[in-house]
Amino acid sequence: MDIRPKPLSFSLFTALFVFLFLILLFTLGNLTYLQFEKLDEKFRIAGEQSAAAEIEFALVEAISLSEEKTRQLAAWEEVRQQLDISTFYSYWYRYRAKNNNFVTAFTLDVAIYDIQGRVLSAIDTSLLPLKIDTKRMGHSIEVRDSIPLIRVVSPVVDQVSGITIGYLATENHLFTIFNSLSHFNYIERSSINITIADANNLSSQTFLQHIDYRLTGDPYAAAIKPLIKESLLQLAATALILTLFIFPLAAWLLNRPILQLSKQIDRLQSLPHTPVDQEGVKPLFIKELDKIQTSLYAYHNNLSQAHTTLDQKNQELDDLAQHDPLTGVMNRRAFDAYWREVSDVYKHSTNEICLILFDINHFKALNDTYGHHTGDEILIAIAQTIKNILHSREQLFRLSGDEFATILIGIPPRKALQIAKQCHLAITNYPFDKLGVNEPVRISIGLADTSADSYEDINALQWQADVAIHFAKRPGYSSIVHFKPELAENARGLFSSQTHSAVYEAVTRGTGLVMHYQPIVDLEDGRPQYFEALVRIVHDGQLIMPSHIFPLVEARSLDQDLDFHVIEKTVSDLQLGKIPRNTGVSINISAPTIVENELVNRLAAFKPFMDDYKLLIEVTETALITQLQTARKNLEILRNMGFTIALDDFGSGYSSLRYLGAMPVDVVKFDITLTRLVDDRANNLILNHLAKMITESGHLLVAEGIETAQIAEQMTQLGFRYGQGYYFGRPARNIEKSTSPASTANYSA
Amino acid sequence: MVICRARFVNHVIRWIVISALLVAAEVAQSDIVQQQMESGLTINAEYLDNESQAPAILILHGFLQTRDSFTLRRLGKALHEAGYRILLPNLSLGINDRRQSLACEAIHNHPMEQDTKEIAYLSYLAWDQQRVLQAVSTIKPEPTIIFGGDDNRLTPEWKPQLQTLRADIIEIDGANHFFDHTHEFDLLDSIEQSLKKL
Repeated sequence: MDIRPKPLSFSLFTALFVFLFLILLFTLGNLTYLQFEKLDEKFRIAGEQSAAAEIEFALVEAISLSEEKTRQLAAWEEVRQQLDISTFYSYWYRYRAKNNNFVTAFTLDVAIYDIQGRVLSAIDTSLLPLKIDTKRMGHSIEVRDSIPLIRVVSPVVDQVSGITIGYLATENHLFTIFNSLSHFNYIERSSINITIADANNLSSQTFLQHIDYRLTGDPYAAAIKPLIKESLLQLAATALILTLFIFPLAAWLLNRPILQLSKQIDRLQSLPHTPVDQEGVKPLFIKELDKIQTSLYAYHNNLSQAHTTLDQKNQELDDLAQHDPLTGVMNRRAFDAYWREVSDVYKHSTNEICLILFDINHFKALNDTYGHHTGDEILIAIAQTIKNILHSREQLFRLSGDEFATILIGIPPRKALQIAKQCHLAITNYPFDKLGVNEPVRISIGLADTSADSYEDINALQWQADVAIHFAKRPGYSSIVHFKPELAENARGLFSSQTHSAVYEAVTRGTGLVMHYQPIVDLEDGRPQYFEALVRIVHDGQLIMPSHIFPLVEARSLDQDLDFHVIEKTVSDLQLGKIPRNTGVSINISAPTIVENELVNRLAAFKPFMDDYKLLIEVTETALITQLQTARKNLEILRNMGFTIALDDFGSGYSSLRYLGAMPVDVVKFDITLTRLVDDRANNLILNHLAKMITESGHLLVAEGIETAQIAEQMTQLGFRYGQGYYFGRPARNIEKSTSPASTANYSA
Repeated sequence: MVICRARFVNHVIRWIVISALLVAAEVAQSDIVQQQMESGLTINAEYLDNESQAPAILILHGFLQTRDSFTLRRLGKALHEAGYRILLPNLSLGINDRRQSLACEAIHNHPMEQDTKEIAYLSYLAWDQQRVLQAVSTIKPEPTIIFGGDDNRLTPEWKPQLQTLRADIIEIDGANHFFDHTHEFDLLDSIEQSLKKL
């Protein structure tokens, strides 16, 4: 495993660096000093050797000087004169020899000896002996009272005969000679000292051992030594002062800002996702560090901002995805997600769950009467009213146009019913007249809960609530209905739980959906012009009819899913050749789908069949009511693509001639209710005029619900060109190749 | 013994005598010649030979001096170069084979007669005055006597006597007893002129 070394503080590094620097400096200083000491020692030894050589040379020089002087004196003719006649020797000694310039400063005494070595005349003050050894000529060294003296004896020779006639001796003061010598380089002249008091006949070598002196020392070394010492001391002092100065400076300039940065990083880390103001933060004196600090704040704040923005965006997206933009309550998608969540929770808990559905009575009519804007305001008002009564934790969902739902958890059924009543009362009392609505607005409420039934599947609640609200809308029932199993018994056919599930499965997944085709025939010759594709669901070998499919599809807003599956299936059937060529096919598109942009893309699948088939799109009035502009735009696109547009179920609801004029509609299909009016004489006239009017406005008319030959004939007479109904053919999976014999017979007649 | 207190008191001569005396003619090219005197002392002389037949010249130094006194040495050298043979003796002054000058305050243990004998051995000093005058007057060619005009060592009675002689007497104006300074050249010139008469 990789162990990351623990990082050390900057202060520690600074201190360590200074410490090392001082040690280095101290070592260097010491080395230099030791080197210098060595050099000094060398100089000293060399100095000693030089001094020894110097003193020896000086002694040799002194001896030679003394001997030279003695020789000169011995050659003095007055010395020979004394040897010839020594009568006046003491006079000569005192006045000639001692006062004569022949006797130099260093010659302390002179004596003349005869050939036997006896002094010519005894002088009582003489330093020289009365008799000398005539065999020993030359110099000898003696010390008297610590004064070194050089005694030299020289023979006196007769010039004419060349015979030695006597001797001359001198006593010379060594120190005086030393003083007269030019100079001493290595020896301090005044320090020369003799270590013995009295001695005779010393040789030069022996005498040298008794000379004591002090070295002057090498003058350069002597001069340099204090300089170097001083320099070293100055260097050390400077380094010390600099270090003592630099350390706090470095600490102040680097350490402090870095510590400050470090503290600020800690501070910023303690405040994640929060912008921090840099105002109060001290600026750093070092450019780079200040930049880091500024960047740090900038990064932190940018990050916080990005985070905030991201949060906001997420929230917005979430809101968009989960909320109904009109009323602000949760949408269908949120409901499905929440429902799944509740289902999961319910599996592991005994909490009671209550689903309440709200539906606005006659909302379509309200919308039509007061306009979309007022309709929207009604929706908002109702959503707000219900929401105010619900607890904050209970979400209100808008499932479809005028349908709302909420899920109560852990609330007993009695209490749930009470809440439903409160909602109903609040809406009843709501001052809708402020919105300009002059009629009462009511809601129907259906409840279903998990308390009283034996259903294990929580999904049954949706079906139960559907059943409940179905009854709540019925006359004779309270507008608030709580699901009971008895209700289910009454509605088994319509709302069988099994059928419900099968329809839901088929519509959402497309499984079990089959298309049945019912012919639309030319009333004149009874030949099928085209076939209307009608959706059926095959479940367990049984067919589920539209009356069971559409309430659920509408209740669950599954229209678009269903329509798209219908398009797929029809195209598939066309490909399989189930529909005879040179006829046509029409498909029903629901109101919510007609305004979808996607529809155009889906319908493009029909393009390959445009040449061989007449293709129709059947639209109900409802689609046109809600979003007129969008619907018209889409229809025009489809028309340009080659589709023929048919208005379905004309006359079944709040049919308005306005739509007929405003919409790009080619074919008008009279609803079965209108067709039935043909038997009534009074209405017959209206029907006749209506048909005439529509035909004249350029629309083709199709009569639905023609069940007998009589009706077929009547409709023909009224001006209808085409007809549809059991008389001509029931919706069937397979289209018969030949036309109906009945119709052929009838129309031929 | 006589201690000479004043070098001028017992001054023998300050003459320069030029004569045709031939001394030690057998000596040829020898530098130093020695002669032991009756007193037992040996005196020495320097002989400057040039193997010519020119006359020999005796140059004698003054009291306590040697032939190495400057005037004499230069005079000797100049005349030798002029082709003459020169003899330059040192009187002993009681010191055997003396080479050094003897200080006035040194011990003088040489009697006057001894000094005189040494001079006389080389010259006319032992002669009496009459013989000297006779000799001077009879010498052919005539002798030349040169003296300094300012020489106060020459007693006044000598001048009239010299002037009565036949001798050629040259007085060099301003010169002192030692012919110091430029008078040295005057002396040399005078001597050379005299020699040309020979």
